[in-house]
Amino acid sequence: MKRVSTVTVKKRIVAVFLFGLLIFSIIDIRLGYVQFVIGDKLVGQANELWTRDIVFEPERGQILDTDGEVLADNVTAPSIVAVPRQISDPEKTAENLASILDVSVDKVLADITKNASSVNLRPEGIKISEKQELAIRTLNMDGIYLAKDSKRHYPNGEDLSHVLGFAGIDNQGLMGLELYYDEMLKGKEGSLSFYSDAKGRRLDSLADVYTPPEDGLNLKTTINSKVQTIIERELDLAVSKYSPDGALAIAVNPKTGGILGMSSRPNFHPENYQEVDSNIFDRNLPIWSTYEPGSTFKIITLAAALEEAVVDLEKDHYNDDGSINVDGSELHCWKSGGHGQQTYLEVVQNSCNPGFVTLGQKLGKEKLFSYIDQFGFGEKTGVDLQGEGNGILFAEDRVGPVELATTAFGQGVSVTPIQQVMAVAASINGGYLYEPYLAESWIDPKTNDVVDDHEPKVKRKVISEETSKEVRYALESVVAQGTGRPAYVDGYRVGGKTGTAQKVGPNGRYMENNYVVSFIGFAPADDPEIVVYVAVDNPKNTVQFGGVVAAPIVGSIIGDSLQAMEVEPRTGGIDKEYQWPEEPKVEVPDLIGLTKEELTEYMTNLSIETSGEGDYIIDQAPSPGTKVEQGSKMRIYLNEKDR
Amino acid sequence: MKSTKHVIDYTLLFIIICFFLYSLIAVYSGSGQYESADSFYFLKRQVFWYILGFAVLAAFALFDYDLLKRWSFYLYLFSVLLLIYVHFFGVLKNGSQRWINLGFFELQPSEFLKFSLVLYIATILNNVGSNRLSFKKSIPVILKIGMVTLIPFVLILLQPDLGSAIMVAMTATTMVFVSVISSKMVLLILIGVVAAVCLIAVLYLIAPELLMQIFKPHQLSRIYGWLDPEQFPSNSGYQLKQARMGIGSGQLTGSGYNQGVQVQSGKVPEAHTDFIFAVIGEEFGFIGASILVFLYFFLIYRIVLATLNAKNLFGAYIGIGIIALIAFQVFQNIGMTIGLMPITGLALPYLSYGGSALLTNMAAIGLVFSVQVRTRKNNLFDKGLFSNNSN
Repeated sequence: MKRVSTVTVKKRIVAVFLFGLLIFSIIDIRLGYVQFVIGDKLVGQANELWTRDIVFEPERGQILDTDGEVLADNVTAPSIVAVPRQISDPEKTAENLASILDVSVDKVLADITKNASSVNLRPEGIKISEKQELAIRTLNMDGIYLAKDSKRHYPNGEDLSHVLGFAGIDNQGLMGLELYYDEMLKGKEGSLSFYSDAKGRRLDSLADVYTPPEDGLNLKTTINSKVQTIIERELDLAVSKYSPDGALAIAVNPKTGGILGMSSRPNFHPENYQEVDSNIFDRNLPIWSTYEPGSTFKIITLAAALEEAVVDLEKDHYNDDGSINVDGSELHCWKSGGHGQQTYLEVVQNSCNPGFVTLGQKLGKEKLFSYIDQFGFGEKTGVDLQGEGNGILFAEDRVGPVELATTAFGQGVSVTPIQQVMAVAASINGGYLYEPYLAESWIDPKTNDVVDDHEPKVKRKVISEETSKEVRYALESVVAQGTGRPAYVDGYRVGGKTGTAQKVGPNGRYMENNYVVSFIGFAPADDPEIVVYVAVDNPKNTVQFGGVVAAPIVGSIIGDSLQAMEVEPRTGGIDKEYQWPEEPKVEVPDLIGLTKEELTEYMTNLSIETSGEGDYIIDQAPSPGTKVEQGSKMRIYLNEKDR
Repeated sequence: MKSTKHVIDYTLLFIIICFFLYSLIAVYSGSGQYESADSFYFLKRQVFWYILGFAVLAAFALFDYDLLKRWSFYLYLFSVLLLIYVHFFGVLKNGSQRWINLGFFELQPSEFLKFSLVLYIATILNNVGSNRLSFKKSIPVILKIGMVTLIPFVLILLQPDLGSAIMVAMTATTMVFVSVISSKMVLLILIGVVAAVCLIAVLYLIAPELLMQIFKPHQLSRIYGWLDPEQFPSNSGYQLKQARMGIGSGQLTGSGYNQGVQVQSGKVPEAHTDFIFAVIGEEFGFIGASILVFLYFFLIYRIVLATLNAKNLFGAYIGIGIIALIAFQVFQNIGMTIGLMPITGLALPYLSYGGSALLTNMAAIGLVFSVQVRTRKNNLFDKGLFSNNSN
């Protein structure tokens, strides 16, 4: 045996050994790297996988009205939790569950055989009904558990639905206040993190970590349930009477901007939102819809003219001959033939279009549009709801004499109902433009302590105290003596203004015989507590005129609401033009030869019924000049052509 | 040099007993997730395999390994025949056909092949003699060993079991490396191995579709999962990620016996077999895992000592073959668990649950004992074969 070769082998063995040493060093270095350098990160990842074993859902905060009445509540509705490992007979279990939940067996079977520690049966097994709960408890299947859960309940059903909105299957806010304040209402999930192996043996080295859920805060709103109920009742009546395309009402406290009530038609039941056309719940009409305001906008022109002292309501006169020529265009008054000689107070009472055109002209373009801006038109009011509209104004550089003139009486601009309400509130509350709001305060559900309080927010002072008083007086006279008489409420000094606005059709032109009729009113006129706006879209079987359709609704809402709010009745207001109870008989006006369109702002205390089709009034009964009781029926006959 | 009375290497035995204990602890903890009826199911079987293993160890230790020179070819032939048998009649599990069902347990012929191949190559190298071979004379030897290795290599690759196939090739290469083969030839082989690895790497970068034809998709996905566990989390990357999370959360002292969240939750796959190192790493931390790694190194060191003192080249070659077998498995298994190597189905020697591998590895240690015992008993040269003692 040659030593040389054995030395070679020996050297090579040592080389292999050193190589092995190197390899083992690498292993240990890498091991140290994994366990120390990236260990913390890996621990985090591993724990994340295992710490969310049991989730404790927080209770969603309630929504309350201003007196603490519950508007949105939670009721228990258990959810099914399946533990696949414990299910002994998946096929049978799937069949049972499928028949109880009314889903396909295959879907349930796929869910309950998943490789997971626990499975939810979405969405049918979440928040099940009492009946289903009973059935599952009776069958008592292996590996099927009922976990405590709750779902949203709205005790007042469809009332206030657009404002409240609704919460989804995981109690997440999806619409309305539920969405807008979801962060504060939903609270924080709690959890019990415990570690166990596949056999359910507890792992003692890792302590159970219990993080209690934090319940959501209760939201106290500015809503007054009594006012809201009155609004809902009146809108329901209006819908059954006029079958309109839509209707809306807002009531606001002019001293704070707090919304007392708000509703629209069509509405929906928040618990059944899935069965409702999304166009219905998406559109909260009082803040979403934008349309020409019509005559209610004249309040802005009036307030601006008074503030700028361009007119004296008592002393200045205007002679309305039925139309006014502006830059070559004839702008007609709604009353053919005109109102004749009037004071400007009468111009307001009569809602006389040419009269308001002169007010606009006296103000001039810059001033009128500056007031329109100041009153908050063309921008969102900032109400705490999603989906608010901006409204559309003329771009100021494109405003010529005609645009100025039409804007002065409410045509050619487009506004949202909430903008109107806030602007009118500002014109009658002493001049303060408030930001409208719903969230009054946040209340800790356990201690009932107020956690956060909303202070009314004045955006700016638009007009003076004095001017505001004059506007109130003028508008009170509209209700007592002018076009707003159906809104009169004895003892509550209602002020207000009618509005009838043509709608712009899909072709960009005004639609025929299709109006949004509205009325905005407030009371009491000496110290307003409430502003109410009602708009009815395309009412049927009636004359489409704000004074006829919307004014009485606002009157009822204001009268009943002020009583419910325990506001003292007043004396010393402007008396209605007749003396109660001896109602004076009224003379039947001569309507023959007028168009139906001209009727729209024609004030009458008679209830008008129509016969025939067409735009022209060819006959009427009783005949003109007959004296009849107020509120009697009058029938007009329509035809396509004038006689 | 004094003649030693201690014919048994107690240190080596102690190491094996340490492995035995480590194995029982880890198998119990790691198998908890699989058998809910009897939590000792795998533990009892592992104890049985160890008892059998010690018997095999003793039998081989008492056996004169020199006799194996004559039997090695037949053992090798038998193993290859088993591989061919398993190719056609084997049990299919997890996409590969590696097992022969014997009723009471499933035999894995590739394990026995590793063992018999080491013996047969040792025999071939031993027959070459102890003189340094010239390059020319090395060629037929290399060709023969190449053929002997290639046949089982291909058969194992077809199962498919990439890990075992590479291990067979690496073992043969290591044995050739330490032999009396010419240095030039050794250099050539090393260059060849490096070139092959580079070729695969280049193919992977340039023409991955060509690799697709050579390797099965699940093998490639393992490599992808290893290279980027975040991006391929669904398959092999997922296993690796879970195992690594477990080891990472072990930190210095571990989360405690039976308390490893990743292992006990069942997130770590095959925690009692292929991924048993994750159990040690998570539940006993860096300390527990490092002791184990040290034990493996100590085992290799003891075998190297035995090899250096072997009475003849045959014993030395057997020793080096066994070192290669064990070291490669350890490196590959731990390496894949901590993200150094791609995932292959190689068990961790002496730790993982499983009969075939354990019996083979115990037999291997038995052979090492046999080499030592005969060195010391016979003591033909006053010192071992490779004594530095001149004259």
